Amino acid sequence: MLIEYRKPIRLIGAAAVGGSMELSGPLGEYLDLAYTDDLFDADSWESAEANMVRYAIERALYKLSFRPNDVDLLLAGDLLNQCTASSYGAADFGIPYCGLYNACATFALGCLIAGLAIESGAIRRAIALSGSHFSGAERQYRFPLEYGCQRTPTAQRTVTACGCAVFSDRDPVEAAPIYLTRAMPGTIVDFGIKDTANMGAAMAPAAAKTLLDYLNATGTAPGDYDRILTGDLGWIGAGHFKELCAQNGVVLDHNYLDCGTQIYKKDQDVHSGASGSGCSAFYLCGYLEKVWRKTPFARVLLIGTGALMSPLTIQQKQSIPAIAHAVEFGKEPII
Amino acid sequence: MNKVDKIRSQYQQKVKISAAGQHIFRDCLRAFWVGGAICAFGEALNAFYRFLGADVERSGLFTSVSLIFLACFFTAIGWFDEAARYAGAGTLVPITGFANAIASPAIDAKREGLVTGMGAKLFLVAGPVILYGTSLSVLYGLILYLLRLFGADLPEV
Repeated sequence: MLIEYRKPIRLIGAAAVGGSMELSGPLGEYLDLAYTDDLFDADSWESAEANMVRYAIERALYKLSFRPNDVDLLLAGDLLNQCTASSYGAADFGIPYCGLYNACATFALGCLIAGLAIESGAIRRAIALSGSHFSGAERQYRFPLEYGCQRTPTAQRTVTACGCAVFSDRDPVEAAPIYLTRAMPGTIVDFGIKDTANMGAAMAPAAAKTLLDYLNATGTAPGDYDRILTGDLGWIGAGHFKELCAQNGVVLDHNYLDCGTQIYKKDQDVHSGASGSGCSAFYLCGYLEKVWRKTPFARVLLIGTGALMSPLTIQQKQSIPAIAHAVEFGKEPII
Repeated sequence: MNKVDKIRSQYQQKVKISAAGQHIFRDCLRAFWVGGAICAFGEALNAFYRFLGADVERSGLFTSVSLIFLACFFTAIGWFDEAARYAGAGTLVPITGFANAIASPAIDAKREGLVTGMGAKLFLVAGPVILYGTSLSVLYGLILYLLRLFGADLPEV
């Protein structure tokens, strides 16, 4: 289901907040705010994640000289149970709020819905936001933080970061505008992978399906894009993804990148790379937005990938269903 | 098997192969030297307590308690999980692993209170070990009893 936005919807501003590991990673300099203490002024990991959301919204609004009531809709999600980080973090702003959950594909989903909301004419400006916190995710999905265990090489580290993107179809056009041009909501794909320490492999088929459908629907080839990004497949998942695409006759070249492979250095001992709903949000709101303003890209396709299991379904030996949503950004609107 | 199932099972096979442990030899080496070092340290402690005048039973007890204390201490200051990341089963198998499995949920659940948090989550990791450990010891005791009943000549443990 291809969505083409007919209004000139732009990403007018963005902010990314991150922790110490992310700061010392290759994209650390692109963070708008970084804390060396992963508690972010809070006294628990859950509040820390909520504070991260709060700071990301504050930063994004501040950079645009907006007040909270300049924004009509806040679409936010995270990995904690019941999306508490987003809800608690957004509580103070008084912006109409919709909590989203599509695991690590939440950011792409937020952009997609923000576009639809503005397209409808009912909403002037909308925020898409997504964050995740390593310690909060560890507690919820894996073991206590201080528990001593080894990870398999396929495991990924949940990113401690939050990205906030503001969309609008009004406001003066920037020097290098980032238009939200097309999007495609994904379908749920389950290839029967049950290993939660290998979520890249579980999500790769969903990402491949969305990419193939997207290229089909738009009649484009991978070479037509400056960058094709997947959310958080990691090194190993990205390998599976490329192979699945190649099996279906789509060969991905060096313009393909996975956000999960970009956030940490290989010597940071993160195994297969980064993951989490903050992963693609950080890459887009932190890195891509800043780079784009200097040297605009013609077309960038982001495929947000999410694994939709819970700790309970995994204990019940069910396989991991995955989803991938595509959103495309361009330097020109469609019309 | 239809076509979709075939593609899925092929994919699962491929994922399984690519996920197989690539560093088994390295990991074993690390586990054995760290685990061995912990045990050697335990032996040294044991000898030290004997030197101070404890009998065999007491010095063993003191050694266990000391190792448990040290494991909890290093868990609390955040070193234990770093060491375990390197050594894997080397830190897990000695009594230190069990101490860490109790201490780490305690630290983790502190924010949720002493009863609903720490009290309820304390045995999150170690609980199954305690449950099945004690259950199995009862079962083995029963087998031993039956064997003796039928005249097997087994030494006292």
